[in-house]
Amino acid sequence: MGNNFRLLFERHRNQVYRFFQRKGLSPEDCHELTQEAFFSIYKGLSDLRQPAQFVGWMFAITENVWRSHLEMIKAKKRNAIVVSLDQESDTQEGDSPPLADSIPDPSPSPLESALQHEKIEKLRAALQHLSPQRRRCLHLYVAEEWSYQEIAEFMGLTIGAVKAHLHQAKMALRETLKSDFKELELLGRAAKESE
Amino acid sequence: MNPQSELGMYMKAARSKSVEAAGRHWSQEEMIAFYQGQMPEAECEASRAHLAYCPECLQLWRDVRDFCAPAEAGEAEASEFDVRREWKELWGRIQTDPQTATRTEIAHRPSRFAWRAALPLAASIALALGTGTVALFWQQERQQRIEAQQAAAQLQVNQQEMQARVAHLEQTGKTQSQFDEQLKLEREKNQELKARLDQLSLSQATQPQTNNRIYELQLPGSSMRGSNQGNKPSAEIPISASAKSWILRVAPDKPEEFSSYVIKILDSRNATKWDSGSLKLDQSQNLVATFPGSFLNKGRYQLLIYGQNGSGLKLLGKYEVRYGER
Repeated sequence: MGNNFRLLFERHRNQVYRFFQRKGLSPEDCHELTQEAFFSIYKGLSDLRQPAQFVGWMFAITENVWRSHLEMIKAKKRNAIVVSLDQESDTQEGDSPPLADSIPDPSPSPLESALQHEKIEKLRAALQHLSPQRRRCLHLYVAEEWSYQEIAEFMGLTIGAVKAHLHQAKMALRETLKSDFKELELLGRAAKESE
Repeated sequence: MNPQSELGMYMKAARSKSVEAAGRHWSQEEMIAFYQGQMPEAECEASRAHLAYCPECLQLWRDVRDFCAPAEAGEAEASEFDVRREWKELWGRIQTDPQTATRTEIAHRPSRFAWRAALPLAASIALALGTGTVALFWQQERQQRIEAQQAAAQLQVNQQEMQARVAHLEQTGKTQSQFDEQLKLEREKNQELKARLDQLSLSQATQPQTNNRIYELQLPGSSMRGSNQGNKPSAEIPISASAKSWILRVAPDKPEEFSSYVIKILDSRNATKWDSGSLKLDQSQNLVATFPGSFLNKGRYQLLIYGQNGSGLKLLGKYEVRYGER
């Protein structure tokens, strides 16, 4: 078994390592997680029912290792500094207010909330007038902050086509929403300046 | 906050009410098929509607891409030396970790009840099939190994041919679409071969674990020298009779010196008990042979390893196998 497992390791080691590398981890972390992934693969080999699904199965294990790593980082951050909001703030004066009082309330006022809701509805209606492809390109670019390259790969388009869709989508939205969204004006201006 | 990220927030809020965002989440297998272009185009288009607006599925798509996309220009591949070093580290951990080590032991120790029940059954099977069982087991395993080696060799040849063809296309100045089409065909062929190779390795790796032993030999040089020359064996290989199978892994000092290798086992009367025929080195430049534990009777044997170029054989190593002897 060891011999054949070695073949699998040699064949797929770079693929698993690259996955962690693309997540922006340090070489030490990439190495450690690659070892962890293959250790889990070895432990699970006897449970693999469909060898044809090996790549998918290996991906699932690698992704699990990655998620566990993220959880561990989050847990470390959570445990880093614990300060009670009831604790007094660190000032020179005697009776200082608790920390909680110094944090501004982020929730919008009822008026702000109503305005925001209205803007969302208008944006949603305007987006419906775009073609599905333009709508998706715009969503991935603006809301998800994906690069042109990523959008092109995902949509099965060229980068040029993605840029064209984005341009058309922004122009169409600017026409219908310019009074509600100053952001679109600014975006249009920024685009012109960059040209 | 920059204008784009503010608009993004509104777009995310608008998405939550979108009809397109509705639908079930994708499984990992579906996402891999989608990424690799194995899904019909009509289905792809319909699926993108949900995918583009579902944060979980988008994240899964990115993960699949990070896993499946081939190496890019800035991504260096590990050297063979590094891979070997990492393999040793991993294998060391597997062999010492209580989880894997315990599991192996338990898996090989049948319960008392099962042993008693299995005894008459085993006896009747042995009587019915006789030594043919051993031969069959051996033959199947050998066939699989040969097939895996052939697939690996084919893959290597294909990759070399692909590189040559790509260079040729670049030189002859073919159009971009012709170039892309050719590249796509080559990639598909390679994918098929890689999948086959994985299946073959897996079918061997996932076989129930047996009480097998691995014997690693380092061949000293291109041929036997000095005190090793002649009839004196250079080392002894003690093999326990309880081993259900044993594996011989030989690392030649100069792997490029011979095109293939031959392993022979001779008994005390110099009669050939086993002849491997022509064997190729595996991807790690090792010569690997697996033997069922019971195919030899207790006693001493000679194990000879030859290098082969064309029809000429050169003796590279001679070892004494002590099977079932303390």
